[in-house]
Amino acid sequence: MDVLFRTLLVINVLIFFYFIVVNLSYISLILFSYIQTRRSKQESSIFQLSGLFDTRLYNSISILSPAYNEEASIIESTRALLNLEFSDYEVIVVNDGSKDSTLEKLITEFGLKKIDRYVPVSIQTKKIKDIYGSKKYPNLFVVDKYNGGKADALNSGINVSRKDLICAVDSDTLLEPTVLQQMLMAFVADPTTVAVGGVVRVANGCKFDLGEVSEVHVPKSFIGRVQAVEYLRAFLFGRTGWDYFDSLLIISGAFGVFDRESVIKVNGYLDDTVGEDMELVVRLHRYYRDRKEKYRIRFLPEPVCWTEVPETWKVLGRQRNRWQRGLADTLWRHRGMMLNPKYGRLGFFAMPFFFFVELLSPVVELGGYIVLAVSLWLGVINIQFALLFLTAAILLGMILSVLSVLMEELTFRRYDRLSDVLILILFAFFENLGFRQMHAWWRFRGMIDFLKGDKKWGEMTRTGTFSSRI
Amino acid sequence: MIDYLNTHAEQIVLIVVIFLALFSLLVFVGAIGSRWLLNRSEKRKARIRSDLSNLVIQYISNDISFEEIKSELTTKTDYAILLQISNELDRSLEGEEAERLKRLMNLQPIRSYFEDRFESNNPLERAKACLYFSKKTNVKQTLIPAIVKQTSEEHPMLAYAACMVILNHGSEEQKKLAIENLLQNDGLSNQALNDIFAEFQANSAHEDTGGAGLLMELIEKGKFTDHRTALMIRTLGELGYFQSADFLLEKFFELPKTGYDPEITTALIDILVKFGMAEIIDRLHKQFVQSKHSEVREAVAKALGIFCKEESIPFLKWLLVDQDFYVRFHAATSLSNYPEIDLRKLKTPDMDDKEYSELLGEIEAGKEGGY
Amino acid sequence: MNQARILVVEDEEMTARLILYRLKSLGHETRHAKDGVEGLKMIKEFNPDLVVLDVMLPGKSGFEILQELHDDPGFESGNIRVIMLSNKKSVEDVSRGFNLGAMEYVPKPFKMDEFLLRLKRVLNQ
Repeated sequence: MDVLFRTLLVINVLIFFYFIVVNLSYISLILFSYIQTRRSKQESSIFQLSGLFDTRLYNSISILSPAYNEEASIIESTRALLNLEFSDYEVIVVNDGSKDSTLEKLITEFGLKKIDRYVPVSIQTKKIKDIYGSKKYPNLFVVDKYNGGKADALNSGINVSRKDLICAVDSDTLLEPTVLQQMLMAFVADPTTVAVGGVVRVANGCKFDLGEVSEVHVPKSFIGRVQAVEYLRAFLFGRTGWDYFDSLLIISGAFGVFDRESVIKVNGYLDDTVGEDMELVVRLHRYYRDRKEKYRIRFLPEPVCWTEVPETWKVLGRQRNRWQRGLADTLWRHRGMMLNPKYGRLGFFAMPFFFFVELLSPVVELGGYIVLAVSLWLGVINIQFALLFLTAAILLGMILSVLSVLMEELTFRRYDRLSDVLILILFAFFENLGFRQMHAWWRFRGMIDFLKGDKKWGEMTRTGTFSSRI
Repeated sequence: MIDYLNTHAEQIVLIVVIFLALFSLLVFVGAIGSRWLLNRSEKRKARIRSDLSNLVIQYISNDISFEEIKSELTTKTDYAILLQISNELDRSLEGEEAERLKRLMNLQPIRSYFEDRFESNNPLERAKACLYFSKKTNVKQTLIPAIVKQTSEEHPMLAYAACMVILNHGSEEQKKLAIENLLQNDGLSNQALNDIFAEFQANSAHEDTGGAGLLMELIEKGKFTDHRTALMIRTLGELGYFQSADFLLEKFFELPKTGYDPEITTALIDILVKFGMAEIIDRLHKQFVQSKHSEVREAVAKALGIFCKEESIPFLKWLLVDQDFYVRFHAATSLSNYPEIDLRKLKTPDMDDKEYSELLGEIEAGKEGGY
Repeated sequence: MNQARILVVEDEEMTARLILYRLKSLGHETRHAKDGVEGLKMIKEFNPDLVVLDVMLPGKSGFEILQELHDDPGFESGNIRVIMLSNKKSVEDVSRGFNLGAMEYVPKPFKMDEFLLRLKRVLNQ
């Protein structure tokens, strides 16, 4: 009995310190991100200030938009892609064997005709049936192919593309018109750049007009608001923080620009993983570090794309489950990089961090609550300790979230109204009371599913956030 | 330590909670404050910009003098905004107004801002400085050699900007060197190179065939990528010197039977057609009409329609049923140039009805509209 | 030149301001639209004698505006004279402009006095 008590006590203490370390390191990551955001703004001001640089002089881009059963929104999203402010770019929509009228709608709307474009098979993909072009929109191409999944669709897009860079987007993301120019900045500033990630912001609740965001507001629902805060913390400042250390491991699949030749060199996206976006980035890192070649992978906090986030707990749960599986899969595949000094800060610092903090935290957190409850009941620990424990777990988390809201106010300030800021602060609290725990549960399930070998994607329901006159 | 934590637990928690509350309050108050401050500073900047814009417009329209506008410029912000305004206008204007604008850009604070930037470690800052220099009427001669060196820098923007300066202010030798350096820079876009050649052309006296001569020399050297070579061929075509036609014809006949680069081939065909070199028709018939690259077939379809020879008709008819839409379109357009041919009679059963009539409709509309 | 009602549809702020300034000092009544949608609306509401129309506009392009005016049965597009102003100056763009009813096509960069001369010519026709 005594041994049991001792062990429980030790576990409690360890978990307590785990929370302290995790939250404190996140807080410092956010602080570093502030420095990096300032730096980034300064860099972009070199371009903006004298307006001397013309986008015509930059590299050319192919936007790859994989589509599967998107008949409801395909026209709108393709139109939006054709309206970006950039001179030399093409839009390649890849119809991945849709079973609905996605292709037919595209053909009618844009006057598409079959063309015979020579496509080198730089990456192996499922067969392409036809390629369509449009006289009215000479930079639009639609690739019709046999179904092979998102990664496969992207890879055929890469094969078809003839531009210097590729920009992979999801069909439910809306890019801001100046986004390409902004992303390009990284490539122009440093020609050894191979990949750049941009910011994903929550579109729910915002008003859109003419294909652009006109008013930025917090979503109306509880679940939307909680995600708004989370996106600020994890996908804006979290990633910028990693860029400070030059160890960016993830670029969102919703929006990322890559050097086409580099992606071909590493053989494109992997098609038997659900985390293909992260996996590609890690593989790029590995490729260049193995060869000791100079390269950069960056995250820019200015370019913004808007995406619809799930509005039901069920869909959100599935999404987070999938993300966790993707993370686990990538870390497992590249476990050779972990703690390997050959991979510098990335292998020694970033990857272990992701492993212990991102990957294992649901286990530790849920386990922690259970252990806490049991220990309290058994009298192993007293109320005071329990309070401290919860402080470390929850209150510190709240500080972290409020800090992210502060960062947002200090740097981008995209939320128009003060009431939005107030709501964000409030939800910084709510995020840690209930949402975080649910999130931990979803991720825990994700881990189990990963260990069972589950590779499904699940569905996403659209709620028509972007419907507007374009 | 655990005992310490135990005894002081409540206090610690209390401190954290108070900190959290205060922190949140701070953020909220800060949000209010910063928005107010920002609002004020943006309003101020907008006002300055508005005032300066009016002044600049009056000045370049010759309604106020240089001295008058100069006296209004006092703070650093003024100059920064002036720079922005001038760059925007500079893109749209030429002639007298542009000249007056240049005088503004030559003001001391602006000039020294850029001269300092030229010494920076950051290649982008140096590029910015070079772009500024390229627009001025005079550049310090002492800077020129340093700028020539920048044209061989790896960073594409810097090389481009430096080259622009040399094209406007360097010697003939320096210009040639700058262009050659730029052509070897892989990071440069086609558009940037087009700009370079346009600038080069604009800065050579019109009797001087320097541009064409340089291009022919460089194409002959052959040390550039296919993509670049195709671009150079097209630029040569745009320069329009008839002497280059023979050179290009030679290159056309040098194309191998297989493994020729589609971009170069297309460029050669398009340009030689422009020069009216009918000598290529034979090879178009015998080889290129069957090319596996659709863009080459497309170029052939277009070319044959310009020369309009009897012998080309069967080949055009063949291209009319090509698997690529654009090839079919251009073949049809070319055939419509033959007065004795009625396109409607050319339709075969295996062609798509709807598409064919659409095609004919478009061609007719194009002819009416004078395309 | 007689006083005319002129609408300038141009999204580049400084260029628009300059043109408006010169036109005003010549005694014309001027209006300014910053994007294609607003431009189309103002053509119908303000009913100008002349429109200075940029091609590259947010919303609808200059060409799209001309096309819509042409297609609109309830609108007398014959009375409005259009000068196109644009960065795009390829042969295709110029002929497209003329085919859609523009009377002049001024490529950028342009000389102000030349622009005003052409404008005067269009007004006097």
